[in-house]
Amino acid sequence: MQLLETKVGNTTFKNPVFLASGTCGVAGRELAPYFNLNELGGIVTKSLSIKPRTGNPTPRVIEIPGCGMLNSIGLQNPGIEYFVKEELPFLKEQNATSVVNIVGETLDDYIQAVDYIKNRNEFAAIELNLSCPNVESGLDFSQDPKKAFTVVSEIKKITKIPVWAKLSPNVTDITQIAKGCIDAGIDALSLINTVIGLAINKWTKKPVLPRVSGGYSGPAIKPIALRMVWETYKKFPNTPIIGIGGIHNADDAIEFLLCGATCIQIGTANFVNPKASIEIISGLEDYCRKTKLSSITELTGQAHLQNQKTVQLAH
Amino acid sequence: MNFKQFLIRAELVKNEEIQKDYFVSWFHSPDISKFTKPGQFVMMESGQYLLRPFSIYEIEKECAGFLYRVIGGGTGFLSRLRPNERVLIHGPLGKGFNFSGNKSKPILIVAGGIGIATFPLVARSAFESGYKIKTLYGARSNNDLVCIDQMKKYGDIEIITDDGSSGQKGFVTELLTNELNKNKEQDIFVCGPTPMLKSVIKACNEFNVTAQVSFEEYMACGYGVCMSCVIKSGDKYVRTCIEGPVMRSNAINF
Repeated sequence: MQLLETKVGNTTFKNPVFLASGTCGVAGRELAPYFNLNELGGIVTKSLSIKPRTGNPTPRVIEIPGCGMLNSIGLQNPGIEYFVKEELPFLKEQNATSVVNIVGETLDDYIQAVDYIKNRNEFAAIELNLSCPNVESGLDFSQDPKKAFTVVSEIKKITKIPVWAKLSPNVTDITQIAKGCIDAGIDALSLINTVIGLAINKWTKKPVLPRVSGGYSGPAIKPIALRMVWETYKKFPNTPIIGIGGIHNADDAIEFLLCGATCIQIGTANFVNPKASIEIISGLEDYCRKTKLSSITELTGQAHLQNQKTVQLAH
Repeated sequence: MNFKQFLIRAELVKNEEIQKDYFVSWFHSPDISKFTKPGQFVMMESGQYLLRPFSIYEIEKECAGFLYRVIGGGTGFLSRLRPNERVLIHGPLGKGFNFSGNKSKPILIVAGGIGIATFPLVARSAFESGYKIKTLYGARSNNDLVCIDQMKKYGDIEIITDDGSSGQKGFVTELLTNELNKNKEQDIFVCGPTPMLKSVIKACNEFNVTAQVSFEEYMACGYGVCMSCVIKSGDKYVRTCIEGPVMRSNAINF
């Protein structure tokens, strides 16, 4: 077994590092010039809906100095059909592993979009975006465990492709939503989507974003994400967790793994450094060698163990 | 893959304050210098979380220069950089200005405010390729006019300021209207603040001419992955960083 090889359910990935949905264009094409896309654990596509979406008016982002950024893109995407025809062949050509992210406003939207791809064999998983804060009703499915249960079980009924659910941190207790998904047979949980935030322009005296609030991402949300990964892993140690939230370097990634994540996704860091993900992969490899791990999978959840020993560095 | 975008930690060669609050930062960046096309931009680390877009102002041998006005944290950071300090530069990015190939058709540059920053390289390249160039340049006041001597090397320049402290008093659109009344058969290149772009495009529409316009929208990534810097084209949003920043005025709903 390779050092970084990782399994989520029965699916094996080259390494645990993925590009997060919405941070690599529609499907990573713009990153291909910087490294081979097949060096990644996988690419999670932009959230795709059954019909194309134009997205929100501008400004769509605002930097929060030192902390990250707020976005309100509004799920601009060319639709699932366009993706399959125009972008998927490129991913195949690159020999890249892909996870298709699906979004909908209604249960029926999710079903129709998944129906379109349910029999394809190119996808390592379907990630359901249950948690976009930037569209009407975007959060419904991840703020109510029953609704989360319904959408996951309906999708599980129609496809054999493993299903991941991307959950929102904008809840009182994320483990309740996680439980709804687990009861419905989810294969993995992607934690977390952006945190709802807001910024005001002191000159116009109005919110910066036309839709008032937006999704907060970047270094500032890492502790929030880690706490949610921790709690979910503690309650449901048998459900694989994909950790997401402010991961910018291998150290951040290692924290997520120790907290309970099996894999991690790189999001906003891609904006600042197109090579962030690939640098993280080599950083993880270094860490494994230095700490004499035989497999990165040994890290998952270790922070929960009693009597942890500080690692001795190999010289 | 034939790829001409680079991600480098470039070393500052010098910082010049060419006028109060106006700086040119020169970085040693052979790859960027070699592959830059006029009108392109880079994303540059500037002490903030996100990188910032900067027009490529000039290329001198292996160095690329960036002209900016110090207005906030990012530009302040750059202006205080010392020689040999390094910052991450990502570029060259986007689509620049397109020269028609018809050298009997003059190029008319319309610059507003710091929008001038993209034109010295454009004008020099066009001049060296044999195009006739004229520049119309509007700014707030005398204190905000930069690069005039440089632009004069490549052709005539007409100046207008909001307060009349230099040249005529008024807006650059007035100069453009006069110019189009004289001759519509020119390739018009435009860069400036959004209100100026709007009035310039309106003037172009009235004369039934299309301009090449360098647009600016708030950008997070600069290379097409974040979908932030979009601008409406028909019923779709296009990315100013990939499909632009230079786009045809008639392709954009403004």
